[in-house]
Formats: sequence, C-alpha cells, structure tokens
Amino acid sequence: MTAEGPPGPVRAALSDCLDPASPPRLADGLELLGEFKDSGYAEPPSLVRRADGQVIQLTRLLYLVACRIDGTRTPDAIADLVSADLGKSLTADQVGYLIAAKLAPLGIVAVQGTTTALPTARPLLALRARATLLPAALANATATVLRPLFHWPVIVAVIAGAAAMDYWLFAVHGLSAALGQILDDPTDLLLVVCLTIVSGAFHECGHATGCRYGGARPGRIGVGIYLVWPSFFTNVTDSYRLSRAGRLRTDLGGLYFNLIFMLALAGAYVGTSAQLLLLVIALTHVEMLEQLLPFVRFDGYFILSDFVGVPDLFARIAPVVRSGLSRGNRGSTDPRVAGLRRHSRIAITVWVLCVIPLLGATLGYLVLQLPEIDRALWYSASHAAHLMAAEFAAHRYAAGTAAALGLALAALSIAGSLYIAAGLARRAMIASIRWSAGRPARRLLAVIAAIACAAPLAIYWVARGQFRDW
Amino acid sequence: MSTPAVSMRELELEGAELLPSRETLWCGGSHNSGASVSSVFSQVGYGNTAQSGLINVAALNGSFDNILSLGSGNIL
Repeated sequence: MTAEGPPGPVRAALSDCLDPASPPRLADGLELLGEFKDSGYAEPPSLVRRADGQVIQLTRLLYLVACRIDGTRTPDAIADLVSADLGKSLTADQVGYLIAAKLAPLGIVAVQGTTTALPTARPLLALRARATLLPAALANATATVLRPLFHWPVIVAVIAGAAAMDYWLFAVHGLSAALGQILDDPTDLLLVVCLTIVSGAFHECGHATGCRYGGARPGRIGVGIYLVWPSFFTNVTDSYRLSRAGRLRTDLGGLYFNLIFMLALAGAYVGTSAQLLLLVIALTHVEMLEQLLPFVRFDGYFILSDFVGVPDLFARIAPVVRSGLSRGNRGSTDPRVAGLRRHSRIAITVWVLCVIPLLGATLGYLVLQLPEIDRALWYSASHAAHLMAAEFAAHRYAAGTAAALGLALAALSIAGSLYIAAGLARRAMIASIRWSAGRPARRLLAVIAAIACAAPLAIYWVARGQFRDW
Repeated sequence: MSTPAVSMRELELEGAELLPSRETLWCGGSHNSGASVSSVFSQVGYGNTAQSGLINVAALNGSFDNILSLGSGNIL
C-alpha cells in the first residue's frame, strides 16, 4: 500500500509546516525503529511505529526528515541537517512538501486540528476475530522465563534428542499400537485433541520467546479465525526491528518449541507407556510440516519473507503482476519491484507465480462447489448434533463431547466458506466500483461482466444439482 | 563544488508502506478437521471427502453421511 495524501489536507498541512511559529513535531508515541536490517531492497528502507502499533516502512529520505523533526526545528533547519546527511541539497519547501504530502497523512507528523482516521494496513488473508489469551505483559514475562531454551547448548541437545526420538518412533517402534488404542476409546481421542491444543499454545510461546531472545518485545498471544480455521496467534510485530537472524529465530521459535513439546511427550511415554502420546508426537510432525507452507500466513511464509528481506510478500503480488504485464515499457516497472535486489526479485516472482494459481484454484473450487460443500457440511453438522444428543443421553460424555467438537467445527466451516465467498464478492464489487467511478461506459462494462460471471455460475450450480436435497 | 539538489521528481518517488502486523499462526488440525472427531466412533463413512486445497472444507461424493468419515473415506 503506498501512501498518497489528499490535496486538501496536504495544503493545510503544508501551510502548517511552513509556519515558523509552529515547527513540525512527530506524532505522540511515534517510535523511530531504524533501518530494516538485511533487507532485500537495493536501498534499505527504514521503519517507524505509530502509537497505535502500526509499523510504516519509509524510504531513506523520508526517514531522515522524520529523524530531524524534534518539535523545535523549522523546515529550514531540518533541510540543512538532512542535506548534510544525504549529501544532496534539500530546500525548506521540499521538506514542507515531504512532511505535508507523505508523513502527515500517515500520522507520522502531528497535524493540529485534524480528526481524520489514520490509515492502517489491510493485509490479504489476515487473521480475523482475535481474542487475547495472554496480554503483552504476560506474554513477555513468559518469554523471559523461557528464554534460556534458546541458548545454543540447549538447542543442540533438543535437535539431537528429537532426531533420536524420530528414529525410534518411525523406524523402530511404529504407530500401529497407538492407532489401535485411539479407535477403542473416545476419551483417548479427546486427550489427543487437548494435547494438540496445548502443543499449539506452546508453539506460540516459542515465537514469543524467540522474539524476546533477540531483543524485541512480543505482543499478546491469543486465538482468532484464520480463513476458516480456529488459530492461535502471537503478535511479534516488534521483530521487524531485528536482524534477519533475529527474525528467523522468531519465525522458527514455534517449530523449535514443538520439538521440545514432543520430547516432553516422549519422556511422559517412557514413564507411562501410553501409546496415544506417540500419536500426538506423530500428529505434531504433520502440523509442523503444514506450518512450513509459504502460501498462507503460516511460519513458512514468514521464513521466506525474512530470507528474501521483504516484509509483506502478499503486497507484492499486484506489483509483480503489473510489472510483468508492462514488461518492455521502460520505466513502467512498479517501484516496489524495481527497488528490490535481483535475488529477492527472482524469489518473490517465483513465489507469486506459485501462489496465484494455488490460491486461484482453491478459491475457484470453493466458489464452484459452494452450495454442495455447504450442503455436505450442513449434513455433517446435523449428523454430529444427533450423535451428540444420543451420546449424552446414553451418558457417554466423552463421545458426546467429541461429537460436539465435530458440530462446532462443521458449523465454523460453513460460516467460513460463506465468509470467504462473500468477501470475494465484496472485493470484486468494490474494485469494479472504483474502476468505473465517474465513467458510465466502464460502469456498464462492469455490470455486464458481473452478469457474465454470475449467470453461468448459477446455471452450473443448478445443473449440477447443488441445491437439491437440502 | 556545489552539492547536487534533490529534484521534485525524486521527492514524488519517495514513498511509505503500511506494514501488516506480524502475527504468527498455529492452525493445528486444519488438515484434519475436528468434524472428523466424532466420525471415528460413528463409523458411518464410506465415501470420499474432498479437500479444497488450503481451505479445508469437506465435500462429499455420494451419501451425505460420509462427510464425517475421514477414518474410512479418501482424502483427495
């Protein structure tokens, strides 16, 4: 998302900035975080954070101007200092323009009398419906206590122990006994679910601890809905200030804590011989592999992002596509692509070429099969509800609870699929309204395109019988 | 020797980008929907369950009873 200020407020801010009686000052609570380290850009950007937590990436000149604003310096004084920093001559008017057009609209510089809401990032495929489990202070305290787990001797011991455990589990012992046990008793399955949840929470503590170990402060740990899945999350936004190694430690901290959790389960198995603990270990391996997917905001996404040194890969999809389409037109490459180092540009382009068909096919399938999917989920929910009632009536509480869990997740999936479909329709509508604003011919074209998409889709749904047997 | 001046064109190219908050996620069980939990015991499944790529919503081919049947169905 690029920052552009509307002309009205820019003019007001410009006159404000150039008034010698009121020198510009930074917004309250603004923090200058410094250069984004190990960046994938040819000219590394710098970061600031507003009091509301929004992190903003600035080009070097903007950051230099922000650094020289102290509430007492006039634009003339700022221009002199920045010119010395930059090695190029900058005038007071130009400083005023940068402040008014670039910094003030983003809430970096305080502007008197403005009440407009500040812009915030609206990332693609972001977590929704967040609720806090551990507030930031508690998450920090937990991370501080667990910090010794990131000392090198401990890391080496954990990795060696996990390798030995895996060899024994998968090559020597096997999982057949554990699978047999789990099918016999629903209580065991509930225990597996509970341990998986604990494993997820501990995973998030790993991210928080990795972040803390590097010198940044983790935010809250909580739960939310990601796409259609309930999810734990940890806010590690402060890790933007870390080096690549520190950011990668934060990214990998969750998986590292999964290893520790599995070793603890293996220790419990030694003491109890409970086979289901081995099943939890195996399931945790699957979940760890899933976490390495780089196409949605799992750990793999952040690992890739930190390797290439670009903070928000999803925000690069449109610029990469646009630059690809306009290839050959000199000077038409989007600056968000043109400013990247060669290896970062190649890595991001490959990622975009993978993510577009993958997400396109996934969302396309969802839209094409939406009524059928929701009908199936509805039957699933209704079946689980009957089962739950029957199990509770028969005083089989464990099986009843398992059915209730199934009911909740089926209902959540219905809500999630509808939410995604509605979100796609809404985004398409907003984009077409913007594209055709004030242009009747385009508006007509947009309406025709909407009908051309909706009508065949409805015919397909009806022809496939997706509305039958509800 | 005079210092080169910053041009207006250069100033216009100066930009800022709002970064999303970094939120690490753990969607444990997204590959293995909890809807399957009860099915292990109900043993009603005998069909196919489709996994729509990263969005794991189950769709069935055949009887609707088998939507819960990860235990006996095929994950496509």
